[in-house]
Amino acid sequence: MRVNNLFVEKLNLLDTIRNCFTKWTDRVDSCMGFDNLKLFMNRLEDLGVKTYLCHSIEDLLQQINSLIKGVKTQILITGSETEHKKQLIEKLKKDNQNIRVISADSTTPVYDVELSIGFPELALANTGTVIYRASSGIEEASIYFPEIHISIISKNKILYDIDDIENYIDNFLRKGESLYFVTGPSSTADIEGEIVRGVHGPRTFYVFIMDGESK
Amino acid sequence: MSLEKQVLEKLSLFKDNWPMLKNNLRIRERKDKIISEISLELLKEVRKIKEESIENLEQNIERLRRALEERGAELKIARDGLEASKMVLEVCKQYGVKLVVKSKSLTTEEIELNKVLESENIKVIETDLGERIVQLAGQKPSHILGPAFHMTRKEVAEIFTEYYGRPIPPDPQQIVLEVRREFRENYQKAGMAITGANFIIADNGAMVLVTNEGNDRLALAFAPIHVVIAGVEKILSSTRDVLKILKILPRNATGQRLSTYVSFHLPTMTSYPREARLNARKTIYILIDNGRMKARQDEEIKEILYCIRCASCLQVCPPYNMVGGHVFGYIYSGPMGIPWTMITHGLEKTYFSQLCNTCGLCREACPLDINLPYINSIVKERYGKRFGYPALNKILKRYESLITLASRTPKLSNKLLNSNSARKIIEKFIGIDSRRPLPRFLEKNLGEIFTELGSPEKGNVILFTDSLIYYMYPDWAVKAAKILSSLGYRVIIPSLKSCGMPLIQYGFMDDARRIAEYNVECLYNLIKQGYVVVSLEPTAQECLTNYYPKLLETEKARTVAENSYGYFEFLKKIGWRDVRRILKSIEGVHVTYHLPCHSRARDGSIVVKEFLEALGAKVYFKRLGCCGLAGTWGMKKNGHGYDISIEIGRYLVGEYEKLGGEFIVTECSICLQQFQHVSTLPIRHPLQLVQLASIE
Ligand code: SF4
Ligand code: SF4
Repeated sequence: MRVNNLFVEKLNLLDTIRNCFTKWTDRVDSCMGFDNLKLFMNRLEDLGVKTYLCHSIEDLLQQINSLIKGVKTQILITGSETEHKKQLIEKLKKDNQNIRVISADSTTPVYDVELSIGFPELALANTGTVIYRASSGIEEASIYFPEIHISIISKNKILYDIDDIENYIDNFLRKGESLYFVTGPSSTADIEGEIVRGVHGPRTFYVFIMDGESK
Repeated sequence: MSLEKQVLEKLSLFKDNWPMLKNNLRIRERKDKIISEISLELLKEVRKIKEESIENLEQNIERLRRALEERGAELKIARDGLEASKMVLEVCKQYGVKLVVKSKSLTTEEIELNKVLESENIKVIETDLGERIVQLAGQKPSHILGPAFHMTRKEVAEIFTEYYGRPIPPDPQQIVLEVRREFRENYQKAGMAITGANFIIADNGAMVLVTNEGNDRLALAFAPIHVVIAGVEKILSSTRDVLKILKILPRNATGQRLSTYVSFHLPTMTSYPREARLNARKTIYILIDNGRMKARQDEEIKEILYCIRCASCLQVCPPYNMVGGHVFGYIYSGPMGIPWTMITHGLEKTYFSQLCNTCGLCREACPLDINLPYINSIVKERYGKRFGYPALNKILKRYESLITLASRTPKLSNKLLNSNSARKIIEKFIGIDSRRPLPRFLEKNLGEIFTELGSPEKGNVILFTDSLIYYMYPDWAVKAAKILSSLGYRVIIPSLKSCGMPLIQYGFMDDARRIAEYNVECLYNLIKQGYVVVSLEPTAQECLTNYYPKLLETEKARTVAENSYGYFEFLKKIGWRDVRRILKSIEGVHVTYHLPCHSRARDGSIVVKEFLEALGAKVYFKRLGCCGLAGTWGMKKNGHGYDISIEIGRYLVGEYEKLGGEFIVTECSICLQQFQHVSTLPIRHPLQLVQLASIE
């Protein structure tokens, strides 16, 4: 994008002022946690992702139960080890035999699985992204193969943007764990530019955000 | 088939549907909303990242090699496509691979890997939908991001109907459902996944994959062997570099803040456990040179290696949008396809570069600020010097002598230019299409009616007009000078050569350099005496500020560039208030404004719109593209210029006619001629709309 020098200088000045200001306000918002949440939910909705804000584990369970009611296949649970995950597995297992918890060395087949539930490591508000780590194909397949995917993330794991996570990424990569960013449902615009969901990955994508302290 | 025939064939196939253009416009509309989120600061930072990564490429390769060794993956460097394909074949044979799933990768297209594998009975399934469509159709991709952008839904449905042996409706939703099922079976059966990589991080060996479909993820989840094939230029130093680029890549490519799936994938990932294959994934990185290392040393074109394959340049390129990548491209297509074809497939495959009209829109769109129009002219020059310039271009290169000659006998010239039989002869021997109307020569040229005007209360101005205004529209120059003198400037019109754009356009860079030297010398001396240069033609200004400094690389050329303004840019600098004082109001006039390419390429602002609005006009404006004529480019007979040029113009005018102005207004004499030919609306130069307040 080419512009002449004078023009560049002016724009740069304006840009610097704008950036300083937005960076500062974004960081403040980010510390407060509130606006990241709002932004995250807005971005997800723009991407066609249904979002729910849950205030307790009971709340989450109720929402999840209503979604998995009609599911006839196994339900896979994968992702980051959190207290929410532990509690959810416990509660779901009580009245559902079809729950399978996926770990790096699981051998559960995923081909016919309709729905999976994942616990991402982080989320990015400005892009509406959830970030998973995985160290094996099965962990990956359990996120990408089922028709429906539900991500559950704590509010305080929502950061503002991709610039904020350089260290996180490097830490994971150092440990030998790959990271996968998911921003909305799988989509293609290869036929006449029309956006169609689910050519490969999940066609339907839900994100549940746990309000309250990180566990 | 000759280039000309290919162009004519595509123009008639795409007529009025313009599938490439429409797909690209859809993306541009999506982009418009969020592209402003990218700051200039970030763009500069990304450019620097790429410059450094290419500078430090050897060190980065070594760092990557060490990182991969630690993680148990192999790194191979292939000198060329054939060597890379052989490497893949060897791995297939070693592990008995019979089915390969492939995720979209331009680099594997570059080396035509599928052909090699299929010749050894290894089945390759493309898993990107667009790639799969062109694979089944037996075609090459026509766009680097949307391989099947040239097809309609009906054509796609026909391809799948034939492939599945049952009717598939022309409904993208239905088609996607069908292929989803098939893809999923293949992922589980394949013995190898081949992917490209958008970036590879030297620090830790991670490859970064960016897709919207998620096909790469599923291919990788299951395959026991993974071969990643990428150009060496994809190596970046650190995670930070990748994150910076990710802020601009999806926004520019598809208008998304982030693509649906972005993976930082390490070779330590194990594959999905099938039988005893748990933990058995083997990952091989094949990085391809194929001309890139040589290009690194080639100062004139080196910056194309900074390309991040965002396709922004393809989205805006007018001739490419009319004929698509099968004609405007080899494997790499569109503006970036010209230098990339030279680097990877050799100069002989770049003949399609003749379709570039040097409008400059690609550079304006490129987030890395790669000077594609200049690089493309260099490619044309090298092609011309090695294989011969196209005959038509060799004749049209002498346009200045032709115009000067014809202007000596204006009556006779006008008569000839209006006679059908004379035009047929001109078409045959000079190559100007007889359907293209040409402007009339006037009895007196500018030099004969103007010497100098005004007194230098506020300053001295050199008015640079270029040939068309000089011989055909001298009144505009006179009015332009009167306005400047009313504003307190002394105006002179020294004897200069035409700006030389047609020479640059056709790659006659030595001739262009000679003209640049002459003009720069004259202008520099006058600038030293306190003059500034004001160009009435946007293209002349583009030459002064963009091309001459590149061609000459001298301090003088840079000084001239720094002291040159477009005419309306200069008026803006003086101030709209002063301009309003000396010109009559044009309140009540409704105009549609066309922004010429060389005005927009220069400063990104819309100065003439501001000028017209300052004088009270109502201005309708839509940021579209090039008018299609581009100097003599759109005059050339048949598919080489005229037909494609008219198609570009027809689309544009169709859009303009919907906007509501009584006239189309533009400050470029070339655009003006094109619209006079293809539009039913009257066309005006902005100076034709205004009058000095002191007159009458
Ligand atoms: S200068 Fe214009 S015609 Fe040439 S490649 Fe760029 S956009 Fe296309
Ligand atoms: S040349 Fe520039 S605009 Fe074109 S694909 Fe490369 S980075 Fe994008």
